Amino acid sequence: MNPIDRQAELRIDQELGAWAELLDRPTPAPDTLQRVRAAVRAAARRERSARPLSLRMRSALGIAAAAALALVLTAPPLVQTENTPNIALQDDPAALLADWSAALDDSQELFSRLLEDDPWLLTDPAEVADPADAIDALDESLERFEEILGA
Amino acid sequence: MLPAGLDATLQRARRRDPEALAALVDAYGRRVYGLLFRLTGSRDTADDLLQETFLRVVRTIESYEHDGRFESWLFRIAANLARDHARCGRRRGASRSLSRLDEESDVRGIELPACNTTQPGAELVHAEAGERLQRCLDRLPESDREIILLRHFAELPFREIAEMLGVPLGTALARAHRALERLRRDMGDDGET
Repeated sequence: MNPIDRQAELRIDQELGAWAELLDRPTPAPDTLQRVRAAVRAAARRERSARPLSLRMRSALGIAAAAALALVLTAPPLVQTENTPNIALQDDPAALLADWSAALDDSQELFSRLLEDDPWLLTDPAEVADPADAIDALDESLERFEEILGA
Repeated sequence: MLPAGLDATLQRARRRDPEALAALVDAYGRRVYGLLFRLTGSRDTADDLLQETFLRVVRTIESYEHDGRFESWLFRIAANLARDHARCGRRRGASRSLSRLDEESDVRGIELPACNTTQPGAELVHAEAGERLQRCLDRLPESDREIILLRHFAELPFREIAEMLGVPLGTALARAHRALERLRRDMGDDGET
């Protein structure tokens, strides 16, 4: 700020200071602040609970998508070309599928535990199962699935 | 007022910790209320907008990047809400003439805080002066009023006020100077009538 502006600011503040006592009146009633505090606490709890809900949606969608893909890929093809396998498998397809299925089970179990814990109702985050574990498990199951596709 | 722990409180508030957010109400509620009351001239409206200001803080604090300008961010929310409220009032055709505003303004019915003085007469004089000040503030152009109230209640540097209002620093200073000059003149006139 240049010296002229600074001087103008000082002059304004000086004058504002003269009005300060009058400007500061009135103050909010005690019950106003109490009401605002209560509303803010309630809104904070609502916002916190909204996050696990989206996690729940993510988990449900992820599992549903993986299951749908599994159904599509394991179902017999509508048009079967002779001597052409559906998936060019280098490894044992049964073992890959079993791996993937086990990983999917793990992920499902973690999500179920997470949902049963009702984390949005708990106040201590330490009591809530870590959502990251469930997401990692789902990622792992999807990786297995990709292995099958890529195999 | 929040002690030096503003950073820690804001970190908790960003995680939507209810107690941290309530602490922000304790720390800033009075000043935000003062700004809203003087901008709207109505105790009821200031009550409502105070709550809405802090509810917006709850909803949007995740997006706030703490760079030491929390107050600027908070008071900007409050000032925007007051401006929106005034705009909606005008749109609804509820815009009142200045004389009518004077008649209807809640300032006539304001509850003043308990006074320690043993002279009730002094308190009455203060109350009357407060009403007069509000009438004079109401007569100022909205943008001028906003600048001096933001300076007083939000204690924002003029540079930030100018940024907030999208005007050059010199313009903000000139408007504040003009507003105070007019306030001083009107207060004198109003007192004589």
